[in-house]
Amino acid sequence: MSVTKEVKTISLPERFDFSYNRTFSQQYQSIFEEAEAVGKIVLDFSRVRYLDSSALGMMVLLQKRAKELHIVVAVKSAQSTAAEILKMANFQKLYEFE
Amino acid sequence: MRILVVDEESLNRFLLLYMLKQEGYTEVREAQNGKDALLLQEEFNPDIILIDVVLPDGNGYDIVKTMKSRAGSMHLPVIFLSAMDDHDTLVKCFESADDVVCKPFDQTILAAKIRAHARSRQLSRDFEAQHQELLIHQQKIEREHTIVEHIFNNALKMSPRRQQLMQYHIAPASNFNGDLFLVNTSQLGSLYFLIGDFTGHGLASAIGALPVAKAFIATSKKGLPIDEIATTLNSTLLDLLPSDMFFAAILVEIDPSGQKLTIWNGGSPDLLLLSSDGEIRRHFTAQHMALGILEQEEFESSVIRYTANVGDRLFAFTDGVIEVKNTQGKMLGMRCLENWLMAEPDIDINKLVTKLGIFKGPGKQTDDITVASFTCQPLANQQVDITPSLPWKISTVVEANDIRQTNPVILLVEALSTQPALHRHGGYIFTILSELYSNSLEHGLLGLDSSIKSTDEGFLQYYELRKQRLNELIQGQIELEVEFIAQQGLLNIAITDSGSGYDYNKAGEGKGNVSDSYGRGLELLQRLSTQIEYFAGGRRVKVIYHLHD
Repeated sequence: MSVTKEVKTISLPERFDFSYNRTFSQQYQSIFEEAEAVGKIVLDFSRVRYLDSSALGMMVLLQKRAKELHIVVAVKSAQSTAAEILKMANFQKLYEFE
Repeated sequence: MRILVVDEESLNRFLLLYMLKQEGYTEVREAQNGKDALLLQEEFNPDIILIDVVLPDGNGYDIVKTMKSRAGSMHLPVIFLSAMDDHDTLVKCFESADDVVCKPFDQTILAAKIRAHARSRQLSRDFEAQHQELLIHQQKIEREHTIVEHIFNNALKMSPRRQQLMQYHIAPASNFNGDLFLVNTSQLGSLYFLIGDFTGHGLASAIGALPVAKAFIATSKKGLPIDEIATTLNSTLLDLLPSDMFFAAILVEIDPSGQKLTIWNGGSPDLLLLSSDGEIRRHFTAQHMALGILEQEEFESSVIRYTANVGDRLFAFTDGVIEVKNTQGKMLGMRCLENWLMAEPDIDINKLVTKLGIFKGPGKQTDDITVASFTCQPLANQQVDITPSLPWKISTVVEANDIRQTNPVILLVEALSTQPALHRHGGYIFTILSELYSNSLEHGLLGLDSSIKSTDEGFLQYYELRKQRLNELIQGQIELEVEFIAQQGLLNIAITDSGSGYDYNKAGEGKGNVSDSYGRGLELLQRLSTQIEYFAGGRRVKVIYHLHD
């Protein structure tokens, strides 16, 4: 029997770089606390205009932890520049793109 | 209630006045002939008239007709006093008056009749007062509409030059248009247009047009990508519109070659692309919901890209066009419209509108109608004003204190993004500068070692350590330089730090694994820029960024 699990969304700011590190890890830690009930974490990129490699690093960390907890991670609504950079970094291998 | 009594006989007048006084009517005047009666009507403005059929200066019927016509739209009750009660007289009386009382009259009946007519006079008076109020209200609304219309027309006015870029026709169903059509050119020479339809029509639906126009003009002028413009418009409308109102729209960007189309269609009829010989190349069907419905996190901004041939023609309509009904109530429909266009692909827009009018036949237009078309050809042929760019150079030096307090990269990128040539590149320039700056600061000035980041705990530790060392930083500076070479369309970006240097040969070792949480910076730099050069033992790095790919 399968139980429908929750989808959690993290809305990212216009500038997603290391300055968002602390907030970001707090956000996903609090989701992990109820990991049993969560099936998927969606990163909402609709507002992101600026992105750097430390943000990519944070996303890798999130993906690793989520995988251990059997949670799927996804990227949603990435706009032109951000979408391009995520693609350059081959993130489609780690994240579902919605 | 003012009552006028008209009778030649003074005894009759006396009796009537006496009776009316007994019934409690205090405002009563008397006249003995038609001429005086008409003068008193002017002066006294009676509510009810009691008048003899026979008057010394003519018959009562004619006087009554004059009095009635003077009363205009107000009901003026007139009761004839008649000595005869034969069939013909009564019929004649009722032709002009409202009632007849035969002499000698019964006081009780006459009093009852006067009360009945007083009631209808009062009704008419109330009605008239309401009518006046409505008239004043209507005039006020009309005046306000004129003012708002004026503002709208000015706000949405397009320069004649922009109008020449596209053929279009807009026909609102009422004073205010729920349809919106806007054309703009970016400083980079692309053509942008928006065609859309707010739910409903009239003032309520036109109200959204102003903020949409403002946001569209600002973002398209900067040359922002269509997906970003769609996102901006959606959030503008989401904040503004009530939840039952939305904006079905098509956003299109056409590059300076006039062939590369980028399209976002949310809830609008298909955008059609026809070849010059009348073949439909493509339907761009709506892939999204209209603007102003979905919350930002649900909103989808993905676009369709298509390369058209020179001579192809793009047609856009609002749903008012395909929903035009003929006199039998049959809708035009997309299929019929397509047939018209296939038969005559070079049809003038005005001719198309005439055809629509013929199809509709006589009758009121029920919805706003907008049609627009663009014939694919290089925009330069259409004299788009491309602002020439001047070369420039900008540099900034940040000291330890500045570094602790601000992030110079974001400030610099925001300043650069205002440059016409760089609007679309802000995101990439941010990433490049951010990578360069992080390297200079973290490795050059703070002496951090990236390999700490190799474990997951290390990643967080690294940023803790960065914070700690940054607080302790007393000396050191970083210089950022950006030079725009207009002719070659490139940026030279250089960064120099006062640190101890950087072993750039080791930088790229053993990297490139997608699941590593570090070491991605250099790879990004290599992909985004064409050349990376190190000087002064790695203290100075220079990269070249091309504005055209």
